[in-house]
Amino acid sequence: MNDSVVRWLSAFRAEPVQRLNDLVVGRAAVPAWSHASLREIFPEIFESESSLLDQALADWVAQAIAQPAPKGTPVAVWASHLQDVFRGVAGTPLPTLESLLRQRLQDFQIWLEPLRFAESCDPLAAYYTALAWSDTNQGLEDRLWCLLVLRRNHEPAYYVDIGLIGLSRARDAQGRLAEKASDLLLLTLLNLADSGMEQGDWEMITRSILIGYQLSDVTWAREFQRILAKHRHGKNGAIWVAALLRVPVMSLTAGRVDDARGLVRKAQGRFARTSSGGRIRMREYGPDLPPPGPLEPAYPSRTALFRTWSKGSGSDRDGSYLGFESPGGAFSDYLVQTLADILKRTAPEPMLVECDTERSASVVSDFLRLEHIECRAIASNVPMYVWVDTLRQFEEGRFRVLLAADRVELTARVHRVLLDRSSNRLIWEPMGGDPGPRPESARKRFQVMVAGHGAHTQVDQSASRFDKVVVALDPDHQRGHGQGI
Amino acid sequence: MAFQANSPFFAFLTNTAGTATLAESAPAENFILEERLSDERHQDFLQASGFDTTPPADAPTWFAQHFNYTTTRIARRGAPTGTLSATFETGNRRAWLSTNSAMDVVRVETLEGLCNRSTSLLSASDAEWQIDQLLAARNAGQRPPADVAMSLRKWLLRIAGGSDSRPVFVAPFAEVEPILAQPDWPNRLRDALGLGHIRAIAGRPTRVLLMRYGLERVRRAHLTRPDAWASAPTVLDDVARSGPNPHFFPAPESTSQGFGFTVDLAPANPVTTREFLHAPIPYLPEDIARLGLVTADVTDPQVTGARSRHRTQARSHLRHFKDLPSRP
Repeated sequence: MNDSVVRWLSAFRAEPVQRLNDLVVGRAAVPAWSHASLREIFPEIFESESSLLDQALADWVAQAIAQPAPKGTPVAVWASHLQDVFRGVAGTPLPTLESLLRQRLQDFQIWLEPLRFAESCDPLAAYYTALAWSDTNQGLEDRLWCLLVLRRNHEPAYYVDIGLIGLSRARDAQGRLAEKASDLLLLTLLNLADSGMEQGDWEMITRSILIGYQLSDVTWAREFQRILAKHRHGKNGAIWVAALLRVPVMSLTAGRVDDARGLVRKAQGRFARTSSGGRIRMREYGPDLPPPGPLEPAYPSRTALFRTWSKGSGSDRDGSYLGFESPGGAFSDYLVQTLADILKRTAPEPMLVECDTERSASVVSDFLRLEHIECRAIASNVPMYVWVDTLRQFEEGRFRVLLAADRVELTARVHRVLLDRSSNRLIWEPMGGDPGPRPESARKRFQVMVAGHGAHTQVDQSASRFDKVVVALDPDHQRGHGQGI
Repeated sequence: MAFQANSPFFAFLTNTAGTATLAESAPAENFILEERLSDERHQDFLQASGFDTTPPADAPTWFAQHFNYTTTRIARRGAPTGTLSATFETGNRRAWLSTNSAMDVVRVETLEGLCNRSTSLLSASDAEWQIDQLLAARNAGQRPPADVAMSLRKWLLRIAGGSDSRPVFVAPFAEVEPILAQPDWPNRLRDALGLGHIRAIAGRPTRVLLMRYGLERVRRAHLTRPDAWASAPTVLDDVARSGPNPHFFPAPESTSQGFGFTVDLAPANPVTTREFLHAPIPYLPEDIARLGLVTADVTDPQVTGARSRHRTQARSHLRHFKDLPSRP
């Protein structure tokens, strides 16, 4: 062993706390450690004096708690020393100290929070990190770590990482680490996507967490699908996970319901369902799709995304599946899917979608985002500057679809769509201007498209040449409304 | 006129330099021999430590004050992120270095040292595994796995965020290239660069990264700064917890062309390598050139011998050599 280290260890055995203090505040003279951090020094002490180091550190920290900086030591330097100590012990098994870190959590928080200067000098962050790595990281998942990840107390951004370390290294009552990522960790990652973070930052963080488990993306997709089906979550989570894992969004969000609910685009751009009388039936639109026939009641649950919107409007088995169709006249999912289809098939021009309520606008916007369509819903209660700014961005083409429940005045020419829940119709007024030569079939004032077989394939680029397109989706409305406009 | 101008502190240095303990004599010797410190920096240190009026009672008191000074003035702990180190403030103009930004430089980092700078999501072992993957892919002429690249980028960003303002010691790549061709490059490079704190501990090797990047990135990162971004190292630029670094030796101003010279710790065939400081920049995954293991320790006699050889070599150029106490 190095001579200078041997000498220091000898002195340490005689006066553990005093020598440790000398080391922390820079009074020690050990050439072998001159440039090393405490994180590099402690393991060398631990090698031969683990118990003594543990006790000395616990004693030193216990003496320091809630005490002001020693005389002659600037507060910033004291904060720096404390940070170095907590950074130094992270990951080193020191049971006495780890118990102290856990037992006096609140004392540490109260003591260290005012000593936070910057990311490079933040003893509280270092303390949390040490606690996260310790064997006493128990029972703090929702009390501390989730709050740090979501920055509920307006912590600096780097606390997100600390919270995630805490979650990923949380131990059970027996002190064991979980063998796989906990549901709470995955759910927190989903919620983090809606915390105002940039998608790129979220991807880096999530990758850093997932890579530690060394599982395939397929496995992660399955795990996230399970979480998405079980829990409420925000707007971005599913989309960002899908982008990260390179899987279709709907494979995560729809899961078991995908083929029956018609939310997944099937091969060759066709869709495969319609509804009638609250019973789900599959229609065949292509040779690669399953044969028609009753599929209920194999799909009892709604997707988590639409559960919140349809809450209280009935159950899956009474015909209100997905929350878009209910006795009260909600949208059918077919209607909204048709809107998405129009947007995908036509030129990427701005479209204003008028809904009857702000809630409708919000839910439809959720759906469109799942379909990778850039859109925003605007509510009437936002501040005027937000309203004006949103309209300006829409007119500038910053996003393609604006959904609103109120009357919106625009100077730019846009497509307008009215989602009419009462008649379950979609009325599309293509953007004005010279439509060019029209096909013979479009010479009448309005063209009506009827839902059902092939409706989506009819709504294509050529439809924008019509003055107005009406898509009546419920089979009960096929004839009456189609001809009457 | 260096620390010689303050007679109480200089007397303390002279006494301490005469002791037999390397940990105390070497830093005192360095303080006496330092030629590049301006009067302003001398005064700043002496006033901040209180040694302008009362010399330190003992070496530990000096070391503690030195640590306080470098923590606040050099590392800028407690100051807002991005605050410039005193190394690059005008008070240190005398030590500033004008160098070619087209130069590639190298630096040796320990994995634990890097992890210590941040609240990283990765442990040192995780980082090592990912770096292995990165380097294996690079050596095979392939792109690294996307998740590895992303995770390492995040790791390095966090390290940058948690790092303080202390300047970075580097050496020109061209000067260490022959060493990197040797099979035992980690130990040899450690010695050549005088990194005595990087050692095998209790027989366990220490994992090190060789970082290599162009100075142009440093220049661009600090383009908006009115002051310098490169400097020769002085005894006050080194943030050392356990006493000022005995593996450092101040270079004579007259012959070093603005650079410092490393103390080669190797007992045989030592080389002199130029070294200097630059303002910190965030690392990128591309900067990680190699992963290696330092397997040898550094003993006090080894350091003493290396310093002795270095001192003898530089003796005729050291302006304050005559001020060193005579040795038995």
